[in-house]
Amino acid sequence: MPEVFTYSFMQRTFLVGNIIAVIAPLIGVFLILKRLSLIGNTISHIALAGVAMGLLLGIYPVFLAILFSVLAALGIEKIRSRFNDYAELSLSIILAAGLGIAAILIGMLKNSTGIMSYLFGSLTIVSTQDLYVVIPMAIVILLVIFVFYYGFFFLSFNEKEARLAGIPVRFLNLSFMIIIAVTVSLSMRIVGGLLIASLISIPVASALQLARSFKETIFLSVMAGVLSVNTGLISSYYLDLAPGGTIIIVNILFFLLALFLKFLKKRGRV
Amino acid sequence: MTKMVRVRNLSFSYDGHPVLKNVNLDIEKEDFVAFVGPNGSGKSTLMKLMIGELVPDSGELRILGTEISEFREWSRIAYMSQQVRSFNYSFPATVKEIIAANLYQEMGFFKVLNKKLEEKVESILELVGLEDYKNKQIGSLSGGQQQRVFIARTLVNDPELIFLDEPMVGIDAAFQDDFIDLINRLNKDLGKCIVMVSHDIHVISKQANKIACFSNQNVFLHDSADFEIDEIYGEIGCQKRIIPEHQHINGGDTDA
Ligand SMILES: Nc1ncnc2c1ncn2[C@@H]1O[C@H](COP(=O)(O)OP(=O)(O)OP(=O)(O)O)[C@@H](O)[C@H]1O
Ligand SMILES: [Mg+2]
Repeated sequence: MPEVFTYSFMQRTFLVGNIIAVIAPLIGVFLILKRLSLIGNTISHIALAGVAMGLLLGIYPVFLAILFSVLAALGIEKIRSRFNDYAELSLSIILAAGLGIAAILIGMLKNSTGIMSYLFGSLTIVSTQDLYVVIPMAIVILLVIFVFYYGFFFLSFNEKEARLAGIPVRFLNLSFMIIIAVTVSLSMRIVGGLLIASLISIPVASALQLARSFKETIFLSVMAGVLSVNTGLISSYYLDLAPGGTIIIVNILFFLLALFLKFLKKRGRV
Repeated sequence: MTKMVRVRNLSFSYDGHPVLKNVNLDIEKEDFVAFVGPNGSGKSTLMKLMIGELVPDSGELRILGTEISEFREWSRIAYMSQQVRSFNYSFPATVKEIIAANLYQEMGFFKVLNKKLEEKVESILELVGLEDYKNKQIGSLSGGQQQRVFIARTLVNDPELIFLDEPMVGIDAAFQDDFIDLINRLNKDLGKCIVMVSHDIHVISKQANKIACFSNQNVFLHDSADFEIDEIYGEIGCQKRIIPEHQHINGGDTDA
């Protein structure tokens, strides 16, 4: 077995990393196609405020991150469904509020080394406690997405008409927002709060270049997520690079590759 | 027998700009109603009220016997919007996926396609002549083909009450005839109630049994038998009007 897999902290990191590598791009597909990619970014800044609060009060930071971001997500959904036209603007304001609060709380921390790993991710901080949170939540998220698969599909294609197909629009929209909030909070351990939005969106951007159906978009996005996370984790272990940053850069490389493949495909046809 | 649609003294305005005032209208189960009237006369608006996308300012609106604000059985109703083709053309979905999504209510615990539903999608695609396009991306189809896909989507879950807002725009003459035949069969043989906005004289004169004229922020219902086809042809020969000049019992004029 390669050395990287022999340490138990690396085993935990790979386990959590792969779970996130699946769910982040998966929800990303629906989020991007609903043209709401800014939501990932907004919620991650709120989650950061939760982490800072947790560190300050000595409470399990992931727990507060989930609490803060779920509340924010429900608020965002309310704004989004009421004032769709200016949704972007309200998101930017909430994002700024989250970052402002996080900055103030971080300033109050006596020791700010802990927060760094939540900002940019880390290989070493995944605890056994994290596993007990991440694994059940990931199972629930995957189940919800697959149980309501065509419901979420319809909502991303045409939210207005979904109701007429008998789709429980409000329930699914709220569930989806909670799923995003939880995914973002769980992902902060490895990818970091500042970079998680990229893991939600860039694999999807790559998949969209090549996919010929919705199913294929999901499949390719998850593939890109899993490949990039594992490449990123391994190279960050051996080269001592920040894992979150490495994962994102690998994703950018995949995206460029997808663009190139698309270009070849087009030329081949003409 | 309960009416499919019952409208009483319904008024609606967009931000204080009135579009419909004190409208009364009844649609029965066996009806094929054509909505006609000039651009901006409120045809689409009334349809959107009937499918619950807009909420009336005042008055009563009952769908399948239930007050619209309490109505929940949306899958018994189908609607094809006038803007149906203004979607994101790079949305990565196949024709099959788009149509399948409308079968949501018929799916099991996991909301995905099973064999039976897959066959349903295939047979509806055959009906609109697109069986070879099942796995094509929706954005890569021509405008008329997309229109056909959305017609198929509207019909796939076997609705009782079908609202179509100018469904034939961009569709070639051959398929228009097929489409009219199809709608006619749905109405006459399968007993579906059809409400359709159309500027097409053939539909109005031959197929629809009732005509709802929109003018002066009001709606006037006529039996189509009262409209003489020759008169209609005569009218379009010299004017761009589709409906011959006629009086409405409680005031109003089609010219308005
Ligand atoms: N979303 C909206 N906001 C404000 N006003 C609107 C809106 N939609 C329609 N209107 C106005 O309401 C009136 C009725 O519009 P509607 O779309 O119902 O007309 P229509 O009879 O369907 O016309 P057409 O034949 O052009 O489709 C028009 O004057 C239009 O300007
Ligand atoms: Mg209209």
